[in-house]
Amino acid sequence: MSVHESTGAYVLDALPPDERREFEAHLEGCEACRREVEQLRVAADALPVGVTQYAPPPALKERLMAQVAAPAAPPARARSRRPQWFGWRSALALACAALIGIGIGRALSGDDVQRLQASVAPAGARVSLEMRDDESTLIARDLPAPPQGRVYQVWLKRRGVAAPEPTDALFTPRDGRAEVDVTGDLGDVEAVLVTHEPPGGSRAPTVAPLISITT
Amino acid sequence: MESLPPEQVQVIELAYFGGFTHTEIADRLGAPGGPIKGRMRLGLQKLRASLEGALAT
Repeated sequence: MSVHESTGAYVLDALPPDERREFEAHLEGCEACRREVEQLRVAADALPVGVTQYAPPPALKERLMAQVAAPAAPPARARSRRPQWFGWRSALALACAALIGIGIGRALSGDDVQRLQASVAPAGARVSLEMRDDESTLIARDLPAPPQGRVYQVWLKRRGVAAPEPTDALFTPRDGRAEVDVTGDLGDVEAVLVTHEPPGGSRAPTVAPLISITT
Repeated sequence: MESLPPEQVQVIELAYFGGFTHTEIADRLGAPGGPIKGRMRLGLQKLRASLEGALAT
């Protein structure tokens, strides 16, 4: 089994930890795999769309439960799933970005990137925002998991508007790490905030921001 | 998803929504792990192709 075969499993977060580390090391030196991972990620990010259209969650859940009914032991490690709430707009935007080739070299080019550190963040966490012309990425390291049954949600505090604007950027860190694309016009945004919310996110924050990045 | 062969849909669903690794899926399906990874990759490649088709129309 060639290591190149692991791209799909990697994108689905289905590699055991040791294999994942091995594959990530391989990725650094294999451009073909990096390109394929970018391409397959577009498909994976669109999965919730496919499910919404063709298989309502209850049916899907029943089928999954039937398939995995036997041993009660959950997977041995804490896993952050790729968000099911991932909106179709984001999926489409990602797909378009990838199709016109933006996604691929993005992480490699250091041009025109402004990196802002969070002024408020959980103790020990390192959180920053990479701002580019067309999109921004919130990058977190050593970020604790949100409380049980909650997900992190990104908000935009716009100048002159009291209530933070919800985004569909929801995430849970994996091994303390998260990289979240923040789309939308950040032109009049004073701060990018993060709260924890129920799965699916909220229209208005239910807790005080845990993270604040002043732009 | 409906255009994919069922064995590819199954492993993708188990990984993505069930949170299982390919080795856990192989155990549960009684199949070797290598082909599971291959199915995931093939399935995603097809999904991407159909997504591209959908966007192009």
